[in-house]
Amino acid sequence: MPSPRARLSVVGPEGPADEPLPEDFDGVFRRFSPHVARIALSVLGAADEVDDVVQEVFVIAHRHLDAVRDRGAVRAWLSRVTVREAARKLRRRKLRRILGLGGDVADSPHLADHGVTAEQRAMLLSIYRVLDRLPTAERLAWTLRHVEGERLDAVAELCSCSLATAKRRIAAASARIREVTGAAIDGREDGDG
Amino acid sequence: MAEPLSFAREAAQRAESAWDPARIELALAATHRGIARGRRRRRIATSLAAAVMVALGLGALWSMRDRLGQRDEATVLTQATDRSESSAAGWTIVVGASQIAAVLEGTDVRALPDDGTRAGLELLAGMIEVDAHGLYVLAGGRRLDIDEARFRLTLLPRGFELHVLAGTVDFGGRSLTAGTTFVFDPDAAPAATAPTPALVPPAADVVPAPTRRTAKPGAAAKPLWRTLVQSREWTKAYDEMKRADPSTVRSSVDALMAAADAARFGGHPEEAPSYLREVLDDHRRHAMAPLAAFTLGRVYLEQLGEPSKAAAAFADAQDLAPTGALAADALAREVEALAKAGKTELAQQRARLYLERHPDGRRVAAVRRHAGL
Repeated sequence: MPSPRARLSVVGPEGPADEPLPEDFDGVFRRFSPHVARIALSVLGAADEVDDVVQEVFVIAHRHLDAVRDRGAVRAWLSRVTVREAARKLRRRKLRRILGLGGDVADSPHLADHGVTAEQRAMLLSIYRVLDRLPTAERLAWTLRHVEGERLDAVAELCSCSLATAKRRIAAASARIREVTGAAIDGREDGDG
Repeated sequence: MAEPLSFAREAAQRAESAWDPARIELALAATHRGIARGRRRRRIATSLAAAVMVALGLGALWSMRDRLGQRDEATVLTQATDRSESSAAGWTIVVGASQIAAVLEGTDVRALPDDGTRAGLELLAGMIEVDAHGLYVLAGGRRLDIDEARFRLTLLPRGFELHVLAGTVDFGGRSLTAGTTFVFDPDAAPAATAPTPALVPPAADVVPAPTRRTAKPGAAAKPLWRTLVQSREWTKAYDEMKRADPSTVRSSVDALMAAADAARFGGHPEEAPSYLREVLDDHRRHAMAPLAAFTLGRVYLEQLGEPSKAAAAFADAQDLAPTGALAADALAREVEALAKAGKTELAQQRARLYLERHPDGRRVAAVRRHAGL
């Protein structure tokens, strides 16, 4: 698995030779749609809206990807758009829940369905239930850090906030998860591991 | 627990792997359908907007017919033929709600601070065609005020020539209506001797600094060098800027843009990039940032002979405002800069993008020529 640093690093102006040019929309889609789907699934937890996010991200990309200057920056650009679109989904989901129109992801196909043990599945589901009740910004920062394994500076960039704010959001989410589930998922907020 | 959720990361990795080629192709087809739906919606929205614009335009024409009867003959020096042909050269920019197009090569303008009711612009050289909606324009050291009008403005060695195509332009207490051509010569026209009130409002974010002139108590004094920039006394402005408190140069985006103008027109173009880069580095979200990047590209390309840097600056102008009014011209100038830098392949690639996006653009011929297409 590539390191988080490798996933977000910006390479030289020409970019890796095996990556498609920003102008090659179909090539970009074939190369990066799994990556977009993965981020969406990590952030949303449930799989039922992942396809929607992928489509929405690439509809946006079709209109604006030309503005990305080099192929090495395409992946990071798509990551940012994906996080933003996933955040919109989360906010809508929260609104649906408030209005009593559903929005509970417990019954949907889930990240936890992808080959984990029963114990790990239970832990993930309980964590995502807590995440569902957290402010979207805290949830985003926490999942990017602990599920996607991004570096703190990458989390800050993806969430369009400062490093200090990213750390504060991750710590707040960790504290809430620890309080509700007893799972100690912390200890890396101040580092850059 | 060092990696308490590594299994979640692995699950995400497995989910990513589940996107096999067949699924990707299905999703790609669905995305293309979504793109087509979006296009249809945009076309409908554009049609509706066009219908509204046509209705508004008919209303405006009706209104202008009434205004024609109020024309002040004393200000009419000549009756020009209709010169409403579209601009043939140069760039187009948006200042506030107004659109400004360069008509002649070498035309140059700079944005001025909003005066609270109108956006501002100064014509520094050449000829512009303006579709103005709440705008004031400085030309030849004089101020024109426009609520709604379309006009051409040419800077003369002394003064300016104004041709009003539609609407009304206010100048020196007079209203110049559609069809009017007005030549202002400061040595001949009575208006030249009339006192002109403050031409440009002080920028709100300019730090007041002491000047050599006596300011009224309580008034925010503008540094002398900026006053000289306004009056287009570039060499004096540059010299005075070098003597001024450096904080007045870097006090705001407007000050930095003025400093860049003083440097590039005051005989020191090599100093202009530092001011423009400061706008781009420290005020990247400011509305003037795309113009700063575009201007930086022009300085590198036209004055400093550094086409590679110019290409990067023009690219930056597009990144800052991908759908902005400068984007098309920035892309065209990027092609020119890349070609001059010897990056033929990249120039052709960007040229093809320009031709795809702007098949009827003003710079199609130039782009083809520079890229060798």
